[in-house]
Amino acid sequence: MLTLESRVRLAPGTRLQEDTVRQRWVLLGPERLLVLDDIARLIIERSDNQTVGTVCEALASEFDAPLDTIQTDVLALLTSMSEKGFLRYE
Amino acid sequence: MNDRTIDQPLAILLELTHRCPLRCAYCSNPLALTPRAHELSTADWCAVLDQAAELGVLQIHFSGGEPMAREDLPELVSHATRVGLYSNLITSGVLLDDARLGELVDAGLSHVQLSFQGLDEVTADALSGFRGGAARKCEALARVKAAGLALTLNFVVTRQNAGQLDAILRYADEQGIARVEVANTQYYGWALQNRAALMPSLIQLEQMSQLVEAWREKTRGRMVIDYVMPDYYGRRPKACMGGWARRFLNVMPDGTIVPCHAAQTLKHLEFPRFPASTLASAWFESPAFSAYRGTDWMPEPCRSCDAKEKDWGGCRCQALALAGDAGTLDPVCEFSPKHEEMVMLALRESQSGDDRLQLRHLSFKKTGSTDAEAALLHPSSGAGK
Repeated sequence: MLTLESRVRLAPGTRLQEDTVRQRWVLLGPERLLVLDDIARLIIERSDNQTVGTVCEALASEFDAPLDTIQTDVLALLTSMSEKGFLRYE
Repeated sequence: MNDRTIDQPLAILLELTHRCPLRCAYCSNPLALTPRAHELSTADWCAVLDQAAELGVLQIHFSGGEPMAREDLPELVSHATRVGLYSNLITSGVLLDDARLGELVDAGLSHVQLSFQGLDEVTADALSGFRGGAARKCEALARVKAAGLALTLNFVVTRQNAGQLDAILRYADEQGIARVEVANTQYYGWALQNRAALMPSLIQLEQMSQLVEAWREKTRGRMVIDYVMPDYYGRRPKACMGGWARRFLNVMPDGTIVPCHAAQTLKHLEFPRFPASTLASAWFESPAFSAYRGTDWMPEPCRSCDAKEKDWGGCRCQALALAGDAGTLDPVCEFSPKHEEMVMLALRESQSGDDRLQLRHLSFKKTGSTDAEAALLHPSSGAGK
């Protein structure tokens, strides 16, 4: 299970890319595409080499938001991306 | 000027060639295969890639035939990488050695989709007309894994190999494969020709669905299993290609630009051809692409159906093949007057005991010749016919 101690990275064959024609950011994977909103993109970019917990703390202080809400949201988002095959974690 | 109400395509499938060392009886290539002399040149394919990127395409599928039969494949992959496209190689794997794989990795290939007909040699050989393919594919899979490339194992299901689904999924999990596609045969091209011999039975179908569910549960978080149901046993049609000319387009070996790989069976439509037509003009301006786009073309009861923007009316090629009219309801839909007839056809064919396969072969016209027919050694019928 993905927890606050997990470190996530993009799965092999997955990449973060700007879709310049449509002016948005997407995750591209094998025959799939995930459109990211600004927050999701930020979380993916920040997750490199960090634990999920560390990313949440940084976001909570940056956006002046309650940590437990951030943690619930981030874990739900990353779990869903992982189940769809876009992320790996350890 | 491009029509702002039409979204740009997301992905393009390039049928680089119809040449292939395999002769799969379920191949969805057209019966009239394109000979090598009519294939687009390297420079033409690079221009296709340039136009695709400009048009807003994000993913390119290099397919065929066997795309590795094109010696310029690494050059094309490299060009796709240069213009920012995510590249997917759809291959049988039998031409994949370390040197060629190395070239593709260096060219920036993003992902490989490797097809299997089964792990059992007798069945796999009979379906593909290629001796020893299963072992070659296992070697290819090991090579792709060792190279660190993302890999999807694609298992094409027919009546002959449906019983191997459990073994295939176990193999995929043991090999640490992250994504498996269990794709029931789509009955177009050669597959339509061989439908009676390929159609799975209702019992096989139920077993497949249960197995897929069980393996999804068992491998949650490490393996994604995509499952494509056979159309004929469905009650509502699939959104074929995500809707006609809404997300995808194909370029055939000779440059013909089509909304799906079977679209050329719609003889009343005239499809544009590259390089005389650009991809953008085909997509935004050609009458063939707008013929069944959106919902305006729909007859009743589709027009007043809640699902019309979900399934986009299903498949036009199937409506033509099974109901005789590309503009009518896809018979997969339970509201089609042809639906019952189609389900009965599938049930009857799946129990017909007819296991004769016509393997694909190069011909310049549609053919009903029997010279390439092969008897299939079917476990339930003992020795083949």
